Amino acid sequence: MKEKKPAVNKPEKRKGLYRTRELHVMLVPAVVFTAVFSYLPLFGLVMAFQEFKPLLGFRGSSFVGLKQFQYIFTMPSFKIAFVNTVIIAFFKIILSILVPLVLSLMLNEVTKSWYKRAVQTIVFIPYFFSWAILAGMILEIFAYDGIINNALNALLGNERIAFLVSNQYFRSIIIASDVWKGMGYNTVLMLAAITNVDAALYEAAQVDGAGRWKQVLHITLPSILPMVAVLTVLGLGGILNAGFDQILIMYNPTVEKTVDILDTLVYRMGIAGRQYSAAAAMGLFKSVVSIIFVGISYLILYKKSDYRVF
Amino acid sequence: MRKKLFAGILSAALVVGSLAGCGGNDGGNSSSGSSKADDGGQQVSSDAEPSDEGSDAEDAGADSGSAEGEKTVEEKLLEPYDEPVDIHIVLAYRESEDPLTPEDCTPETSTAVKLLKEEMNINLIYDWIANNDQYNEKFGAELAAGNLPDVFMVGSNDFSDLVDQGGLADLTEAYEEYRCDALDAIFNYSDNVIDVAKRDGKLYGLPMGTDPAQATSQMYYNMTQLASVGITSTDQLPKTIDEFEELCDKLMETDYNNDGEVGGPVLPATVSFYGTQLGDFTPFFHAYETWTSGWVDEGGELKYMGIDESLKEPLTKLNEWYEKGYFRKDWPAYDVYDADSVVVSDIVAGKFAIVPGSWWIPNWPLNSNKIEHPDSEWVIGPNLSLDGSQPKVMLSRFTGSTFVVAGHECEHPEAIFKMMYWSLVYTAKNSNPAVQAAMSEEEAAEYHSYVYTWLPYRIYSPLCLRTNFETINKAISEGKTEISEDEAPMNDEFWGAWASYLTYQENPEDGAAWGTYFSRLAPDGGVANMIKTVENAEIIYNELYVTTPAMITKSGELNKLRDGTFTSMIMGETPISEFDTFVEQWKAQGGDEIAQEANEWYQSVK
Repeated sequence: MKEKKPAVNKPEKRKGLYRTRELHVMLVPAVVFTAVFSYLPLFGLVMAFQEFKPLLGFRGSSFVGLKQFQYIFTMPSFKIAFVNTVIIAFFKIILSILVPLVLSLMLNEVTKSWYKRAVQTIVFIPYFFSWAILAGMILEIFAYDGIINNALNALLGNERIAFLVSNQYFRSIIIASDVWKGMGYNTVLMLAAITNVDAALYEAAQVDGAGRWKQVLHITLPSILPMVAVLTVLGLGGILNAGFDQILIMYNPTVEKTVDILDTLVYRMGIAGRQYSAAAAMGLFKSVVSIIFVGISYLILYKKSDYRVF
Repeated sequence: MRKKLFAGILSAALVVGSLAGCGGNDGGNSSSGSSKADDGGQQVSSDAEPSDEGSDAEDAGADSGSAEGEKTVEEKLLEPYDEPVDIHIVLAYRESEDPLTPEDCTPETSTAVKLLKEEMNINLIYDWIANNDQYNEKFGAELAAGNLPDVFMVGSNDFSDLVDQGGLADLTEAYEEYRCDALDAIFNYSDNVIDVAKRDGKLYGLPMGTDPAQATSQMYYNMTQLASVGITSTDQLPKTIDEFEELCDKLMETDYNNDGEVGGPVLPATVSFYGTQLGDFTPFFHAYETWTSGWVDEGGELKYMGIDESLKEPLTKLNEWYEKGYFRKDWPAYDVYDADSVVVSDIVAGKFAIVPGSWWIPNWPLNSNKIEHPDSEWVIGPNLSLDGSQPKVMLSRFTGSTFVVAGHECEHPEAIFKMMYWSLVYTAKNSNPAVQAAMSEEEAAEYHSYVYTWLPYRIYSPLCLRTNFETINKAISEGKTEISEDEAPMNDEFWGAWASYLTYQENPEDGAAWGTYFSRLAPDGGVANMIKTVENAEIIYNELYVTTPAMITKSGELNKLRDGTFTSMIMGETPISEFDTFVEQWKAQGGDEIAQEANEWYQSVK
């Protein structure tokens, strides 16, 4: 949505540009930001085809063709990270739609407005905290002597589970905590969509004898379905973004098998391991896959709901 | 790798750290206690030793050095620059280990920065300061941007990588010009150790070595707690793995630490389960004569021990112990070197009657335990083995996985030598208990604002542990109660060790003094046991002391593969029978390449 096209004739275009000048001025920071932090770094991708040594620079480092790609594709931790990324991102996308959907439908049925608002606010709060804070809390809660284990212990006897080093549970904890953190945002979006549903439809349904449940099923859901579709398809573009900061802060070497994602691997290899070229190759690979998904989602949206991003 | 390097630096750091008889306060909750103890310690030492004013010899030397004529190297080293020289440095920040360091003292306002400016005309400028655990990433990010500080420390991988890129200044000339015995004792203490840092005959760094014997591991037992399972004398302590297991089984069934709970864990454990030198599994691997790394000569060829089949045995045993509940069920989530580490606070709180560790652990964190629980009676037990005899020990041919280097844009690489020598003189002069006793409050504050961990070099002499052990024990056996300046060996540790002895004599209840004394000087203490071990054991050597090109790029992933596999095997997720698969993977992922390069190198130096 770079430019909002006012419905005007061609000769008046300049005039229109002038009339929307404030909007364009407001766009400037975003354009500069994108140019500096998204487009300029593209040139750095050349290092994916080099054996990059920072002190020798792009000119001094030797070109090695596709060697770095060969290297990363034969690396077992790359395969693991790729699979993990897709699994984690897939569940995050799906659940971060489903959970808020259910939540907003339920909230919509709440008649006491103070209660509705309170829940809405409380659910929204985690969204505003950074992972640096939340991760500490979550790790504490799931620790071997944390609240969850104490509860399990009290309820089931001497049954403690080492969640934090468990390849069985830790991925679910990552996904669940991310969904929990973000659910407030989507809930608010969907509640807004629900409020926009024409009240006349409900009245008509009531006249036809539909109960609460039927109304939800036949009016609310279909009405906000386009919204849900848009959120889902937009999420597809981020299929390889499984939440870098969350995982970097929460994981430990034991659970790398199940929660190491491409971004954390790139970080470890590039920044901590000084293998800048291999890390850049991996980043480039990720971008290419992402762009394919973005393209697909764009096509789906365009065909199905005439929603245009560009 | 980072953990290992860090452990190396840390162990060296801890060694140096006890200057004023202060235990490291990384345990967090122990700082107030050890601070108190330290006050006491200094008073005691001031009583014990009449103050001696004549310690300004070095200053006098510096003054006469500025006169015309033939100058000794020492005089040249202390000669200030005519024009101010800027030295850009970076810092992996850790809190000062000295509890007496003033609260408002920051790296920028520390004594070294101030005095190097005043006395040497050197401006130390911190380009950036990152917390210790973030340092490696920050350094990598800065390096990616082509930024290198003037003087800094690097691990061996970075060292080789930077030399290849032309990132390091040639120190050959400066070294020849400024070499002197006191400095050589730090980075060239025996057999041309400094050659490790040479490439094509040029010197690119100063290796910060440790005594190879420091790699040995020991078993510490708290006799007070062991009494509850019937162990009352040190003869009863386990010698073999079987006896050890028997003891652990008993502890599992006993509330030996009076916390009202029976059952595990009875042993500390940490994610880097070897090489942290505290609360790790090293002694158990050693008991089986196995090692998780190191390249030994087998029939003229170098062989990597970290993939050796013999490792199956200790892994199987550790897995059994894990299943029995000897360690926390989620031990790999914890690290000894975390901020506010749970492992350390458990040790300090007295949760464990058994703590495996290196020679220095009485000085941290056992000292904190002793301060909180004065009745703790820590002793060192026999080194474990399968049959009760001393197992083989692997030592590095050369230690020195950390190098002090100058960046390629550094205009005054010789400043490294000047700064190090200045630090050596400053520390040697001021750590003397007699000198400290005579200090005014201001001078004392200045002394405690000298924080060696905030400097881009260390002045730790690898031989000082043994030298100080021998010198002081000789003095003790001769009944001496004071040691003069002349008799004291020139190293930064000596006076701290001597002061701890005096304090400990005066007040054996002083946990901080006990820590330093027991680690360094006691006849049954850490250093004594370390020396005994390497003297009695059959020694095999880790021959590889260079970093090959494939190691720079591949070793990170390979170490991760090894650590992940072993952790998983100990936790029972991966069956031990898959060890061969691991070896195949290790070889395929670059291990073979490294082995080939290592052997090519080995044939060239043999």
